[in-house]
Amino acid sequence: MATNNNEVAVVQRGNSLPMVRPDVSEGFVTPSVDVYETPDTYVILVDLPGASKDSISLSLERGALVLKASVTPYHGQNATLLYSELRTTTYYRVFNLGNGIDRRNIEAQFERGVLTAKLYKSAEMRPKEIQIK
Amino acid sequence: MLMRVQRLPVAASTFDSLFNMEQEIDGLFGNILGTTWVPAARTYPAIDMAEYENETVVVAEMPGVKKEDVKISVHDGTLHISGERKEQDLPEKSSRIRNEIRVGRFDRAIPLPHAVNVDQVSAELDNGVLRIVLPKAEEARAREIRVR
Repeated sequence: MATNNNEVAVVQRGNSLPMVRPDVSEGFVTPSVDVYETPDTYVILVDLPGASKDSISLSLERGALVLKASVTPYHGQNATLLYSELRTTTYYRVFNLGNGIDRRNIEAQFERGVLTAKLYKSAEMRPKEIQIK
Repeated sequence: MLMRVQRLPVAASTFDSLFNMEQEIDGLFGNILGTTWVPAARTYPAIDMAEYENETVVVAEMPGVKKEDVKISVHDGTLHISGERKEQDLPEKSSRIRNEIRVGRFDRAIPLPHAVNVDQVSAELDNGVLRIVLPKAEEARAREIRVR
């Protein structure tokens, strides 16, 4: 996937078709993601329902931001499941970061099952007003 | 698949064949994932229902939904879960790059397998997961019957 330096390419590994949840394979779920850009930041929102804050790991691996999280089982051992649409699962997604991102300055918070990660643009990527002399 | 190939003009442009291939792939996934992914999207939220000796627990995933935006009711042997996931307000001068998260209203009715003690139903929303505990009504609890 071609990427400009100023673009956050959201690419998932382990499944060549983006936008398709790997519901039936791999043993992990690709969570839904929103990304938006502000003048100074890129903000990534990730749906991680059922994940506990402690289980979430965000790490930089070879320039990519790697997200993993896991869901603690919803039911006790003696439960009889009458509906079973949810997956006790591991979430996994990789974000390929362009060069214009300050890798030392990434903030994340987790609220209502949604992870918000804020990536700051490096100084040279921020908009700058040029004074006309 | 054969039909499609026959109908394509010999000099079909690359775009045409790519488009057709996309349709093929869509069809393929429709068949494989159709039963899990497509209907699940129509019946939001996805749920588990677990029956225990004295209660039934319904678990529903609804990330990004606020407590005050969910309504739960039990009526006529049916559990209703409705509400809304509101769109996040973007800060000024921002633009969307990727948008996979779906927002909007939802409403799901789930038939209950037994009579419920309605006054004792409780619910909590934590980490984007709604958990509803429905205690069985006295007459719905398992009871051993002595053979005389």
